Amino acid sequence: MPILKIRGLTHYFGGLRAVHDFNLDLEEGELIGIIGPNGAGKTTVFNLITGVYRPTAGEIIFNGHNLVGKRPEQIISLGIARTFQTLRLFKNLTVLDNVRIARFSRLKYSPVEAMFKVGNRVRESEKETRLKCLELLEIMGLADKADWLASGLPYGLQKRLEIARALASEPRLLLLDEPAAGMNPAEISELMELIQWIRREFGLTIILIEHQMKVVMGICERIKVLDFGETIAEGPPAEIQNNPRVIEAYLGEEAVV
Amino acid sequence: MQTFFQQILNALQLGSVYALIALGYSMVYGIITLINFAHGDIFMVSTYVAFFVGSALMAYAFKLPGLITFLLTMLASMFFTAFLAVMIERFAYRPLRKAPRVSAVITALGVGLFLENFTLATIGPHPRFLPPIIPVHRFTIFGIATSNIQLIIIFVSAIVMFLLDTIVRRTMVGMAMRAISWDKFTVPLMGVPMDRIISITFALGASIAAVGGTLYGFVYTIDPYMGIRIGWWAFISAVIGGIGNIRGAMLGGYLLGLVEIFTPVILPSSTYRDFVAFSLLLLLLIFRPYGLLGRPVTMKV
Amino acid sequence: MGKVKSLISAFKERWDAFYSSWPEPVKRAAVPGLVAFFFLASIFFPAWGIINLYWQQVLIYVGINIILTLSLNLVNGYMGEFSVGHAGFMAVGAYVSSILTVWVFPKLGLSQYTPYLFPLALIIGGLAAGLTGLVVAFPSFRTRGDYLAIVTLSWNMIVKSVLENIEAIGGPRGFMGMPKLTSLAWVYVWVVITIWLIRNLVYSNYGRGALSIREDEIAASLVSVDTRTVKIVTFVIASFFAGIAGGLYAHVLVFINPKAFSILKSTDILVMVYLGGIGSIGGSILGATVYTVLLELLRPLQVWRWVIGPLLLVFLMIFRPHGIMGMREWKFLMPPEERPESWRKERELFVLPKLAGSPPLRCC
Repeated sequence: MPILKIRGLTHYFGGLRAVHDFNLDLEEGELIGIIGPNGAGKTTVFNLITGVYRPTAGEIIFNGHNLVGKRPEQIISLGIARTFQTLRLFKNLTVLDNVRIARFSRLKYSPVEAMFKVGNRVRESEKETRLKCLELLEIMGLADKADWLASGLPYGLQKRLEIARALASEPRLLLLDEPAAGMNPAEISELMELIQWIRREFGLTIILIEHQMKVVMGICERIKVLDFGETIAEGPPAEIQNNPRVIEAYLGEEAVV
Repeated sequence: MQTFFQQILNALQLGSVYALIALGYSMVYGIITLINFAHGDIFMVSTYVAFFVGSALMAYAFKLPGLITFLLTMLASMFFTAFLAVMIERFAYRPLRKAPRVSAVITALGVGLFLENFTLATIGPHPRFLPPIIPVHRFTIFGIATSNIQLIIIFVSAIVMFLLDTIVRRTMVGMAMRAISWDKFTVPLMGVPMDRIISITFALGASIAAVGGTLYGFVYTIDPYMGIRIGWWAFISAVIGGIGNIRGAMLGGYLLGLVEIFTPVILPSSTYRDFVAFSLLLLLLIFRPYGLLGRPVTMKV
Repeated sequence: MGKVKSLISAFKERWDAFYSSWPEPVKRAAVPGLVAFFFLASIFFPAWGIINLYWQQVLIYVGINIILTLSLNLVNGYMGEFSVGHAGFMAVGAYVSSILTVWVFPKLGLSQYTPYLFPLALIIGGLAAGLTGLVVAFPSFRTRGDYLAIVTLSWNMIVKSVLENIEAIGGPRGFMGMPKLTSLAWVYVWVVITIWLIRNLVYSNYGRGALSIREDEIAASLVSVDTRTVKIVTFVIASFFAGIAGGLYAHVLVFINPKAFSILKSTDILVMVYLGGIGSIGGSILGATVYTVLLELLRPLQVWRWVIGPLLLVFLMIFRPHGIMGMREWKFLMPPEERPESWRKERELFVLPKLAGSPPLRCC
């Protein structure tokens, strides 16, 4: 049974068709890429999955739950996490707090308990959270900067922090939106390694939006190509690279001639 | 029925003033997303300028016809108030353009309190009347009692609003204003002198409030606290219409004029008018968070 | 300015050195000890005449203002909304607790116990205010920023207008007859309780949720923060404490009228919040204290103090837009386990040994 099943997903912004009839069956542990020119609707797909927008039509089933109509925080709590095309860290908060916030839905105590600190429930779950997050930061090489403000980190580390924050909620499905944007070749190779490592280590299923062909072709098992909201091709990297419709979408019609 | 139209006329008179002040809130908000809480007090200052200039003209240049005195008073008030607003923008708000937004709002509150208390300390709290620059002439049409002053207020306001609307929609300055309100990062890169356009916006907003202030002084008493009292109502008008939207501000002003005049008619006492106005506002914001004519801001993810 | 700064940092350095030389038990006892000392002082200093009536009064206002500032900071500073109607919640607390002490307790034949029932009256007033906090919390799901500010403003105006129109509680003339129950000691106790509870809250899941809403609400919901719950919790708790402060205020003034809770009062609280700095408990304490004492000191200037006060505020905002200590915190106000040195210790004790086995990831 696929972990994520999307059928006929369609979304309009006013009269503009952003995504049309998007279908996907994602098996547990897969790593697939979504590519396409700017404005093809890739990020919109992520926004639809995570409940930022409500789809005009279609259904999204994650792990047996229908996601359509749920609020983002409910969807995330079911085990999905994402990063953003442009960094959306909590800039004025510490690195540790950025990661801890992502465990919001894992912490279960009432506000009254939090205020009076009755019993050990609050203390213990807070300690557990702190340790888990410190561990995650250690793994991601951010631990010695745990008390820095997120805005104080260099760009590469901010990207890494965003991935750490996504992992903190212990997701099963991770949506990465252009993780390689703004990186140099050396950083990109490192990122590819990182993605494969976290996938193995955390048992993740990953969907990756990326413009860097090196990344997509290098690590994805399967690729979907979007153009103007339509799926124009789907298949393993080698096949996609030679697909005339994909080349046309990327380079324009004349290039084919 | 006659009292009804009578009240409508009164509502129009009051609504005109609200609308004129609301425009200033709305324009400034539109261009730099600042709730300029000092605007009500700028309006208050304008009535005092009108008071002093009008009194002086009456005392020393009594031979001038009423209409000329009126225009001179209004122009002086407009000019002074515009200057004041530009100075406030230059020295209090501009340094904060890159600071957190609330700092600017707090500064605006501070400037407002300063103006109010400065007036209180120097001129005193007693209510004053503007001198009879244009002699009041009451008459009745179709059984509705009105006066030349009332009609002047309604018509002058309408003309000023029409002019403003034209400026914003048809001139280069207006285009620049709208462009900056759309995107204040790229527009300056295209050669639009942002600082100057912002100054002009403040000057325009304030001088329109001064028109309102002068007209207001003809019919009501003026005191240092009126900036808050009238200012808040004008501010609600701007929000109800959709803050940042010029036509919305006018609509809101007239609506609040209606609310203020008709509340005592419907409810037992005029003390309920705040309750009615703010409840309306609350309900409106819950069901239509961006005002009547405002557009929702779309979020980008 | 530079000289002052270097003086402050030199002092800080010396203080840190001195502090670290203390033995561990003394360190741990320092804060509770001071709290206890000031408690005793708040009882005995007035009794012994060390603090005269005038300064007692000023300190009582300082305390009430600390509660108000801290609770508003929860909404405006930590959660980043712009509530301008805090006095509305204060009014609810003030009137409800006054009705209890003036009418309800005597009617139940509890007149002679009223001083002991005072905390109960305050808490009931606070709860009533907290309940009305929902009026603002629900619109905040959809409405944000300036528009939410206007919702809170309307709320303030509506409360005032309603109070003015209820003749039974005096209408615009006000409500009186409260016993003067608010003493310096009571205020002190409530200030300590407020600081402690709010501190615990802001260093919990809910506090972090509020912070994330301030930083980026959409991102917050996309990392699983239940923004609705956090908003309800924050607004209700902030209103609760505003209500407590209102109750204290009513029972020191022994007379309240709707005008006392107008938008001007809300503005006062706002000023204290931004003067002290957002997102900071220490800032709230400082902001409330500096503002209250400063206005007292300017009293001889009469009406001119209201000219100078706002002017100072404008200068402060221009030269220090984040307030005295925006988003920074005194270490002693943080829960011990939240101080960086303590999680560094945790890292060494628990995290590093656990990860020692696995091949650590290469860091850049």
